[in-house]
Amino acid sequence: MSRVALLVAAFVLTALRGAAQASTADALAQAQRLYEQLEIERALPLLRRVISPGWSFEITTAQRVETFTYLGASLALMGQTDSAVFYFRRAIEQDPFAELDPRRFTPAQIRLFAAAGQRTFAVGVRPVRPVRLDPRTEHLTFAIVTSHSALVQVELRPPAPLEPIELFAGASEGAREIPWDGLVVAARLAPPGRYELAVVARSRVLQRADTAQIYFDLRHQVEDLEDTLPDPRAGDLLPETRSPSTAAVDLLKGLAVAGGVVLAGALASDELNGTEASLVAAAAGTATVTGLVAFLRGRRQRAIPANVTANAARRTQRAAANEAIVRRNAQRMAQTVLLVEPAAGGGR
Amino acid sequence: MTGTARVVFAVAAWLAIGGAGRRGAAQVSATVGAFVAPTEHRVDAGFGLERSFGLTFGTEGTVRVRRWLDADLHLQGGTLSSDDAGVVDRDLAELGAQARVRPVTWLAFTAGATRRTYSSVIARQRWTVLSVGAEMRLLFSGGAIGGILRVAALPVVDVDGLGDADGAFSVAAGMEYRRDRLEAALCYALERYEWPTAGVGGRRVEQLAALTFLLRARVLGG
Repeated sequence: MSRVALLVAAFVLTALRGAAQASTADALAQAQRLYEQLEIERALPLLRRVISPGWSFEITTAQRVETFTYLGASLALMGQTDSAVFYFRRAIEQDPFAELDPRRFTPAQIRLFAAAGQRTFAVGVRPVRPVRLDPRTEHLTFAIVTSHSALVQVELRPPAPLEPIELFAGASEGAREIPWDGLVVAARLAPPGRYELAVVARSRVLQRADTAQIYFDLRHQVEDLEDTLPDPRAGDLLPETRSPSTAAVDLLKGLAVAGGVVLAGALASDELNGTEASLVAAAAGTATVTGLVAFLRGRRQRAIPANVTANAARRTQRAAANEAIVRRNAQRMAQTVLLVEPAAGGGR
Repeated sequence: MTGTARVVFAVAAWLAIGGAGRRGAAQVSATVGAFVAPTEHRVDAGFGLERSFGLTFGTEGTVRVRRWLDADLHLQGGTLSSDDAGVVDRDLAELGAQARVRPVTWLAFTAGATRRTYSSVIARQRWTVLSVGAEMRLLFSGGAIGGILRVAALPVVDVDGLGDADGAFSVAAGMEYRRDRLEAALCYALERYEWPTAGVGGRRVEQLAALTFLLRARVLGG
């Protein structure tokens, strides 16, 4: 039951919000029509109602700026220049990027708008758009604006602990584009994280200063990297020393072969008086001596040089493979592409 | 050469040459070697024991076709002489081929064919022997030394004028020593044959024993 009520409430709220936005937009459209039909007396009350505290519908910043602009333009047509400049200033304060289209407004209105800009000081920076950036060939461009001549400092603040980078410092008036090559201090590729672009401006006309900032998230798009080979585990390498029992086993093997020789000799036919004993003795003696020598050597020398060499070769091979992987990964990292996404907060 | 021996020889030759060639030299290893063997021949054909002894020399080649399959060929010859009165000297000449299948590193099953000739001033006797057996290797720590134990039944022993032998077998045991591409081996081998009805007394017993000193080198592959 409560779930149904929540759904109904959410629907009603959504519908009301849509209606509210539509109402502001409708009012502005109507006021714009009246203005264009030079019915200024009818347009003015409508525009004033939109920006009045009693206006019950939602109004966006862009709609507010548009309202101030049409109010200023309407008052300029009526010869009320001070009031026109007042509303133009309000528009510029709301949006320093605001400007009048020469195709739709008269030169007198544009002059008044410029005068408003000289009497108002505001700085703005345009939010970044989502962009995929190859830092080897492309730049990210930030757009800033001051309402009139000012000393401007633009600083990019990467995530801690990296130091901020000054992208621009100097005199500026109106709109300016500031490129960024995607590098941070020491010409390193900007690491992933949240960045802040902070603009501080001091008016050269008025004793005023203003700031603006935007935030954006930066991610790296890089081809999948290879994992380096892990350190060899216990079973991956050959034993480099013999166990104490190995020598005894070698002795037993030598004696077993000697026993085999003796047994082979014993299988000679009795009817033929057996076999030549010296042949049997030579072979059996050799096997026994070999077993004894292996036993004594195994007791004295535990290391297995062949295995030590083989293991060293495997380690060298692994190190070479890892070096190649690191090299390939570095090449892939060098092809990294930056993904820029606007983040909440800041602007103007 | 009998029909059976020809077939075995042909199969061994195919394995050694044709089969190996198709797989490419990189997968094949080969060794060649030479040997000298103090050899003793004893026979009693109803006239009493005849014993002859001498050095035989030979050469052999082995091709490892796959990790689990070897094929080898050997050629051997020499003169066996005797100090006993009434025993004539004889020349021994032998050509043999063998295939070796190794399911595990320490054990192999063998099948082979041997053509042997004893020649004396009196007569020439031709032998054709087929063998089926097993070979066990006891590798010492480090891998450079190994022991060999071999046993084989000789189900087909065809000898001119004697017919098939009964209950023939061969056994061998010895040591192998390896260093880099060189390998040395010392092996005692005994072959024993019986013909219950062949001799004058109705029974013939014959055996060949040898202590083989072999030196071989790997000429192809790792």
